[in-house]
Amino acid sequence: MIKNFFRYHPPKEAYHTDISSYPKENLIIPPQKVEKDIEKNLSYAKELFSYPDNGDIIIREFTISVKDKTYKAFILFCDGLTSSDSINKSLLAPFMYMRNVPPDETATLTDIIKHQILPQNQVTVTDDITQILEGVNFGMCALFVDSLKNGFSIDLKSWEHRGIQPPQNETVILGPHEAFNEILRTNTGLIRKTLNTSRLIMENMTIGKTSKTPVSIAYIKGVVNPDLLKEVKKRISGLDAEYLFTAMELQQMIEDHPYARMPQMIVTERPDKAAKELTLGKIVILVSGSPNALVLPATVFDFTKSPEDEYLRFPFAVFISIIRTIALILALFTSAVFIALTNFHQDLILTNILFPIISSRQLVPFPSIVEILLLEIAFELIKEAGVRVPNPMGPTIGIVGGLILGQAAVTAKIVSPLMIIMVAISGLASFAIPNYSLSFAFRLSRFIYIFSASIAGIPGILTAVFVNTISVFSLTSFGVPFGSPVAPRMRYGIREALFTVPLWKKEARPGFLKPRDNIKQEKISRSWRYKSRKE
Amino acid sequence: MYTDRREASWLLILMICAKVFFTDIMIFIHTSGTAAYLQAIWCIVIEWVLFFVIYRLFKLCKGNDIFECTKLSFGKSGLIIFGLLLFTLQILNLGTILKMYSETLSSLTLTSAPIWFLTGFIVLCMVFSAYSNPRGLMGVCTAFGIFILILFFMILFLDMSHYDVTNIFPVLGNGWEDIFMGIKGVSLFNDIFFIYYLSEGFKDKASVKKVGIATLSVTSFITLISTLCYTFAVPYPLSKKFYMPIFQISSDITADVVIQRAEALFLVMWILSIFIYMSAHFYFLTVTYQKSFSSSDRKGIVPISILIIILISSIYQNINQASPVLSVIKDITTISFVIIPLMSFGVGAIKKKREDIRD
Repeated sequence: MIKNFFRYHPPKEAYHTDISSYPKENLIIPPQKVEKDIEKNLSYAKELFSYPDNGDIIIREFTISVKDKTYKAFILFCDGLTSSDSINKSLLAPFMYMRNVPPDETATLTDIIKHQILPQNQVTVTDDITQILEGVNFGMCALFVDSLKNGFSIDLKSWEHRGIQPPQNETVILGPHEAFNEILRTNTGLIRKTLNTSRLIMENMTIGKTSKTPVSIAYIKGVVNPDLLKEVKKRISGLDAEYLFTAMELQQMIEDHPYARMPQMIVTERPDKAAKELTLGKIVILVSGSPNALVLPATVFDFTKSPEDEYLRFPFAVFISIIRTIALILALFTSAVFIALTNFHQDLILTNILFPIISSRQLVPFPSIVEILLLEIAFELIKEAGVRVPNPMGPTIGIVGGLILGQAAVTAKIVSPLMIIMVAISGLASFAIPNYSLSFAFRLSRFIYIFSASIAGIPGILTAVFVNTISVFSLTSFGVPFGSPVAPRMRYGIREALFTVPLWKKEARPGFLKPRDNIKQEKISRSWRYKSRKE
Repeated sequence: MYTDRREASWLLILMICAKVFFTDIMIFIHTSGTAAYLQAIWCIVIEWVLFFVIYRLFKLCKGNDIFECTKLSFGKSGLIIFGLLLFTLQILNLGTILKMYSETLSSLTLTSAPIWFLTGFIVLCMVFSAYSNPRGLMGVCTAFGIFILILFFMILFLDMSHYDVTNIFPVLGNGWEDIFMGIKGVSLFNDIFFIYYLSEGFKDKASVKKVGIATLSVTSFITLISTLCYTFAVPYPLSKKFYMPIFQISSDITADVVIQRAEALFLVMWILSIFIYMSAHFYFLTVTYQKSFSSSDRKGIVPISILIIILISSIYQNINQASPVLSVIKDITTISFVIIPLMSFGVGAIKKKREDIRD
C-alpha cells in the first residue's frame, strides 16, 4: 500500500457520453389481412413485435394433424399477461392430441378448431391480422394455421393484480368497504352486482391512439338522457392523444373547463356510490388500470355530499351534514376573517377578546398576513409530506410538524399561539370535506381569501366571494349548469341538493339531468305502513 | 339564453333592495316626515298600477323584449335613438352611483384607504361579471338572495327593543299634499324596467307577469317595513339627519355576544348588494349596446364603458356634489322608464291590432 502511494498513477479519463438527434422513425406497419402462407403471417408478427428483441413476447411453432393432413401453426402471446398453465393445458394439449379425435367430415378446419378443439369461452375469428396481434398486448393469445385465411384471438388473460380492498380516500363507518381496483372487468362486475339489473349497459370504447386503453361507459337504459350519452361518447371518441392510462387523465381531457379550480366530475373509488349515481341518471366511466370511476355530470352540490349520508339514520345524517357545512365555511374563511378583523375592523371584536389577541401578538415581529402564510404553507408542506412519507416515519412527521415546529415557533415568537389555532381549525375543517377534488379547490381558494382580506378586510373578502361565486356558477358540466338545481332552479332535486332528505322521500331524479324517467321510487315507498297484517 | 323565472326575480329584487339598503327610502322621510310609510304605500300602489298597464301593452305587442318592440314600433332609427338615450342614462347613473358607493364604503369600512382603491373593487366585480356567462350573475343572486334578506330581517329584529310606536305620530306627517306629491319615490322601483330586457329568455310572456308580481311583492314589503322600522327606531326630525337608515338601525343594536357591533351584519349585506347592483346594471348596459346597435358581441363595449364610468365618477369631488346630480338622473330615468315602454308597447299594440284587423 505504501509502494502504491508513491507510484505514479496516470489520470483516469472521465467517462463522457453524448446523445445525438435522430429523425422520427416511421414505425407504422400498414395493416394487412391474414395470409394463407403461414410464413408471411409469422414474419409480419415478428416485425410488429420486434421479435426477438422483445423478451416477453413468446412465439411457439407447432404442427397439427386433421383429416390425415398436417398443417403448420404458431401461437403468439405475452409472457406475464397470459396464463402459461392455460396455454399448455387448454391450447397446446388439445392440438397435440387432435389426431385422436375423429373429425367432422363436413366441417372446415376453422370450424373444427373453433368448435371442437378450443375450450375457451371467448374466441374471435377474423381475417384482420393487426386486430389479432394487438390483442396480444392485452392478454389475448394469437393463433395462426397454415392454409387458413383467418386467425384466432383467444382469451387467456391472467396477470397479477391487487384484490378488492377497502377504499382509502372515501372511508365510511357504516356501509360497504369495497373499492375499485385496476382491473376493468372487476370494476364493472362490482357495479353490476350492486345494481342487479339487465338495463345496466356497459359500452366499451378505447382511449389513446397507441395505448388503446379499454374504457367502459356505464349507464342505465331508459333513465339516462340520450343527448348526454351522445356527448360523452363524442368527447371520448374525439380524443387525439397517443397515450391515456388513467381516469384522471381522461377527466382532464374531456371536462368542460380544464383551467377552473372546481372539478366538474366526481371521482370515486366506491362501487356503491357509482351505482347510486347511475340510478339518478348519471353516467359512470371506468378506465382499465385506474381504481377510480368518473361520474358525470356533476354540480357544485354533489361535492358536498358524503357516501355515508344514506347509510346513517336520518337524524344523524342531518347532524353530520350540518357539521360538514360548518366545516366547509370554516375551511374557507377562518384565516381570512381573522386577518380582516384583526387588521382592519378591530372595533367589531369584543374588547375582552381583543386584548388577549393583541397581547399574544405583541412580540411577534411579522405582520399577521406573513404569520398566516408561514403557517398555512407549513401546514401544506406537512400534508404533502404525509402523503409521500414511508410508513415507519409517519408518526415522526406528526411529532416534527405538530410539536417541534408549532411549539418551537411559538417559543421563538415567530408566530402567535392564536394564529396556530386559527390555521389548525381551518386545516381540520378541510379534512372534513367529503370530496378529495373539492378539498384541492378549497385549498387554493383559502389563499385567495387570505390575500384579499389582507388587502381590504371585509370588502376584500366579499369581492373575492362574489367573483368566486360568479365563476363557479358560470361553469357547466356536460351541458348542465354547475349551480343546478339552485341556479337555474329545477323542479326536482333542489331539496336533496340543499338539505339532507330522508331516504323514503327521494322520489324523483334530479331535474337538471333531464332523465327519461323522472320518478325513482313511488311516493309512498314505505307502503307497509298502510297495509294491514292480513294482506 | 333561457332565463329562469326565479333567477330573474331574485336579480331584480336584489337590485331594488340595494337601493333600499342604501339611502333611497330617505326620500319618504324627507318628504312626509312621520307619514313616510304612507308615502311608501302610495308609491308602491302607483308602481303596481304602472307595471300592470305597461305589461298589458307588452302582452298585446308582437316582440319578445323592449328592443324588438321598439324596432317594430319605430323602426331601426327609433331603436337607435332609444338605445342612445338609455345608454346615456345608464352610464351617467353608473358613474354617479359608483362615486357615492365608493365614498360611503370608505367612510364605513376602510377610512384610511384612498377612494380609488375601493372603487377598484367595485369595478373589478363589474368587469368580471360582464365578461362571464350571465348565468353566473343570476346564480349569485339566487345563492345570496336569501342570505341577504335573512341578514336584513335580523337587523330589523335585533333592533326591536328601540322601536317606539309613538314615533309615527302625527299620522299624516307633513300633510296630505306632501304625501300625494311625493310620487318621486317611485324611482325606487325603476329597476323593474329591466324585466323587459330579460323577457326574451322567458318561456312565454305570462312569465313576465309572474316575475313582476314576485319582484314587486317582495320589494314592496321590504320598502314598507324598512320605512316603518326606521320611523319607529328614529324619531322625526332626527331621522332626517342620517344618511343611511338601515345602517343607522344596525348601529343602534346592542347585542354584543361575539361581535361587538352589529354593523358587521349590515356591511356584509350592503356590500354584497352593491356588487350585485353595479354588476347587474353594467350587464344591462352592455345588453343595451348590443341590442340597440345590433352588435354581435356585447363584451366589446366593456373596456370603454368602464373607462367612461370611472371618468364620470372622478368628476365629483365628494358625495355632496354627486347626490343632487343623482337625484336629477333618477327623475329623468323614472320618466324615461315609464314613457319609453308605454310608447313602444303602445304603438306596437296598435300596429298589431291593425294587422289583425287587416288579416
